[in-house]
Amino acid sequence: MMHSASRTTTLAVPRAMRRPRDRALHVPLVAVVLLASIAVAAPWLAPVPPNQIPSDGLITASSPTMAHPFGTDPLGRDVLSRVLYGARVSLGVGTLSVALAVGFGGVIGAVAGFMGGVVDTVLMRLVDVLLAIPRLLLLLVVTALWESLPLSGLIVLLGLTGWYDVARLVRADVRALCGRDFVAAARAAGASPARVLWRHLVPHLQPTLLVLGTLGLANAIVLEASLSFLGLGVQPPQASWGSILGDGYVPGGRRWWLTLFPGIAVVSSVLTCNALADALRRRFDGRQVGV
Amino acid sequence: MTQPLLTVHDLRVTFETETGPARAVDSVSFTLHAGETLALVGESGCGKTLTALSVLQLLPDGGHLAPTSRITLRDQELTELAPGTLRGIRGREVAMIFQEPMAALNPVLRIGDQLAEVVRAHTEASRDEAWQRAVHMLERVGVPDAPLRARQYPHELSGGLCQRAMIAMALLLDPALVIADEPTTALDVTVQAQVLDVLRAQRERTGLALLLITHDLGVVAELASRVIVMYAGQVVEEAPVALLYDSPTHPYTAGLLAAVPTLDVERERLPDIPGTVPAATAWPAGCRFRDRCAHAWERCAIDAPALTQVAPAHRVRCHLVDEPERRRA
Repeated sequence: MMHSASRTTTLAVPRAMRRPRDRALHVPLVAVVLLASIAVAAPWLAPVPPNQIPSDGLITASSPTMAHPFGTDPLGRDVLSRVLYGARVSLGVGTLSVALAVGFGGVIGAVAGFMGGVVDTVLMRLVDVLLAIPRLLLLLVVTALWESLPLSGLIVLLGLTGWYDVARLVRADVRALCGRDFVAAARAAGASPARVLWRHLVPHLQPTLLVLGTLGLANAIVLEASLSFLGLGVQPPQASWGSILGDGYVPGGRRWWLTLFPGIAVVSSVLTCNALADALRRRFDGRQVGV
Repeated sequence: MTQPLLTVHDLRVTFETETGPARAVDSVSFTLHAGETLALVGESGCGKTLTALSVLQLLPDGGHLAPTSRITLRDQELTELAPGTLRGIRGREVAMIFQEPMAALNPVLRIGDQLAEVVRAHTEASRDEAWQRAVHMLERVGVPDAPLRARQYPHELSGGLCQRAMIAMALLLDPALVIADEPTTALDVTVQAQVLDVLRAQRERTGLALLLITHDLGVVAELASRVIVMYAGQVVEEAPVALLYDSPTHPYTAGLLAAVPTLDVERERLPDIPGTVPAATAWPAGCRFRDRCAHAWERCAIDAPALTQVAPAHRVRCHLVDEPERRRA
């Protein structure tokens, strides 16, 4: 599928020559799988339950020890366990909201590009308006309206504020594709508009959607962490990387381990997503995928 | 004479442009009978492809037909059909072969899928049946290893094989009319001959009518029985192939034929027709070919020539028909 997206014949390239390019893709790919496995396997990896408050009365933040390699938070909870469980929230919320954004943006963009005319104008101007609103600010205002926002609400909010770019770029792709001969040929063969769109155009959108989705994931992870850090995301006692960071940000002494470990988790997953998006974009080099 | 398969009457296509309406096709009329091959000849931009697209009612954005234009397939008036009915005709009764097979095939779909899809769009055939019909048709147009080729993507096939696949796609549902828009222009000379053979064989096999659009007079001589020469959106000459080649009457036709290289006459340089086609937004008054014509005189600047019958199947749009003594040697 990837190769056939280019119009020219792909020449057989010796394996050795392909290596550097493939490594740029494989390293972040392995890292993503690793991060996802950690999230899935959190219950087995975590030494103690993430919300367990010690019964021996040590309800205080302590720096890393043998018993608690990542230290404990002000409530005495094991930070390692909380970071592991936090991966589930951070990556889960990110993935689901991006799926929503890509799906919604993809449909809006495809419809606008395919229908053209008034529909296109109205939808794209709407996107222009929405793009003018700062995303974090909008999220802050909206999350502040809820006393306790359920996780599903957070996912929907992130999804509904993340589709604008997708719609724009998909629309541009569809417009360009509509001028290609194979679309005219499909019409001449009696294909209905729905069939042209679904069978002939949508397969071409995969590179764009994949790259934008991966980039969007990095964005969503940061946004979720930001909101949770401010106490507007996940609700206590649930652990997310952002909320652990927030737990460390209280007056009364430096607790570097509460910043370092969840910080590493956020940074590494965002970098991984960006590297993967970049590698995917290079992979689809024949195609122009806007960022 | 029996009822024609296709009747095009007073076809006018206009595009709205910034510099005013462009009359890209201007009052083109012709008929095509079953089993017949009609060639539309002319240089780029003279309206050949638009004429073909009009038949399928697939004009590009911004182009529209005049309300008086009539395109009749058997007894159906195509200009008045609902979009759904038209889709039923496209691909089933009227199919089109495109100029560049590599571009006209979807690069991300397997050849077999693209063909099977045409079957599935028009019939109740199952996925498997449609695939079988696709493979069978690929075999019929001479694609070697058809079952294997059907599973490949367009970029894995040569240009010639892709064009065969396009032809197979056009012939899948036994259309009565096939429009071939420059079917050989993008191909190597040796492959061109093969593709023409395939078209000829299929025409003999199914009795389909072929509307052949080309600027290659060699292809015309190979396949067509009748020729329409178009210039600047108008028909300038219509004649059976043999007659046209022996005695071209319109100076433009004569110029086109003279510009075909031959091996039996030694020439320093091929004669050409000076100048270019005028812009469709500003056709000159009088004869549109006047500025490039070696015979033109005052009348040509004032009086637009009409398409005149000069022999039973021979029509010409030129004042030389009335005043043959004006023709210069």
